Amino acid sequence: MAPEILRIRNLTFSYDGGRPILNGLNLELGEGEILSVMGRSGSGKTTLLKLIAGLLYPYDGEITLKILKNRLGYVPQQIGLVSNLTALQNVLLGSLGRPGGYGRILGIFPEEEVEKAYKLLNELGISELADRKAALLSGGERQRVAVGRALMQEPQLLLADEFVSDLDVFNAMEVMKITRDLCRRKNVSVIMTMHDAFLVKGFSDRVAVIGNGRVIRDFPASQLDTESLSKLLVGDAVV
Amino acid sequence: MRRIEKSLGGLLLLVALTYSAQRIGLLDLSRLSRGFGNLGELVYEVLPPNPAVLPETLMALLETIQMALVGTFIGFTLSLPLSTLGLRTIFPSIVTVPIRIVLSIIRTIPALFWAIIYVIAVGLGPLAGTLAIATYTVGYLSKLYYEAFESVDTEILDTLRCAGASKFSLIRFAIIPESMNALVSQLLFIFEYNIRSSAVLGFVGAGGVGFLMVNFIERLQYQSLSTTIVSTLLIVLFIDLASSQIRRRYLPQLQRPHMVRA
Repeated sequence: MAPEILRIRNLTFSYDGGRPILNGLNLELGEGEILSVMGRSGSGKTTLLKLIAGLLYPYDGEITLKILKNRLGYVPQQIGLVSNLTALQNVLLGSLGRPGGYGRILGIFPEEEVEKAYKLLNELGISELADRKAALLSGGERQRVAVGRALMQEPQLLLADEFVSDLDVFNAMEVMKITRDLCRRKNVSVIMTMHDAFLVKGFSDRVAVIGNGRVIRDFPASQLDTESLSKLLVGDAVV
Repeated sequence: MRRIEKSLGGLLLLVALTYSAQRIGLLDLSRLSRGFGNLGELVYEVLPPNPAVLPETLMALLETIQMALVGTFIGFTLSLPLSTLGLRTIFPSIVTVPIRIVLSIIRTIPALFWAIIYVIAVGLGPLAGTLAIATYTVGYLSKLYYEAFESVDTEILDTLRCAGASKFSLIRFAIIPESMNALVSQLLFIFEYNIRSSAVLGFVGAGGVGFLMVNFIERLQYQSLSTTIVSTLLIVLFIDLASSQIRRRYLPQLQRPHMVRA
């Protein structure tokens, strides 16, 4: 078993003191592991990722992250690219947590960071789009740039929130494959929320299903079958 | 019951309107007809415009444009840091609330009053007008800017926060680039507004073409006055048109969809 990188114990969270959206949730993640979190809309998947990323607080319970500072990459649902910046500049934003010198105030990033960003764009298969503004990129290209920005952080943990849900199945598979291969090569642990059981099975190691604010099932992705999943989420076999 | 309330409300409104109209002299028909006569006489006296004062008018207009340009620039330069300090998505309310109150106070006072204050402070002339425009611009532009900044997608800020970006980096690399269209468009809008506004500021001695107009009125030189009015109108119209043409390029909803080469 790979060393643990994340441990969550009894996590409880509610928005503005209302009904808890997460209620006593427990979860662990090993180094280099790819975990898919599934659940119905509104079950708290995005909230869980934001809590792990430190973007929401206060909460009850315990979240223990065994990673270095600024080494958590986050790809949100709507991708969150700066539309007036180019693909290269957006990827470079992932290096903002590292020292960049005074030139960075003027938008001049250190040469080694620029080289690293170019290399990532190349690995993501979009090096020819480096100088194109994010506003002019297609859905799949935007997703790749967002993954590039997160990987630019040299993350130990990558959180991806339904980041391919707006893509057609072919584009989604392509982006997922590139992301998985890069994360495997760089030994990055991944937690992604996902609705598509086909993609989950193809690209994850493990699946955690959330219901009633906690993990109701946690199993290897290879054991995922749509019938038992629909029973679990809808209460009946609908497929 | 509700019908009676409605009728009573209507009646009260009618009484209030009639009373107010009577108080301001709108029902004094003889005075109104005298006014129309005077207007006719004024039109007769202002025509034709006096071309001899054209060089003087153009110099005053140049001064007006300079006041608007420099005032807008100073206002813009100050409004950038102030509007970012008013950002609730970045700073805590202990910082944003006082900043927003100060900006609101600045906006409450019209540019003309600021001009009077600066005329008292630094004396007659374009300096007072420029300072008035700069102050008013700070109040208005800062509000427009922090509203534009706050509409930046919070997911962009979230991802950069995870990357370890400082507050300054969030503003420099996410908020400002993402709001660039709004920044330029609103800057041009306030410049157009300031050109018109600086023409009026001269009425209280704050320099520019307004100052010249008051001089002509005081000396009853109506034909010279009409030269300045027509010139001002033409110049303001030209700048308005040019500025709105440039502004269109920065308003996404006014842009035509364009082809992107693959």
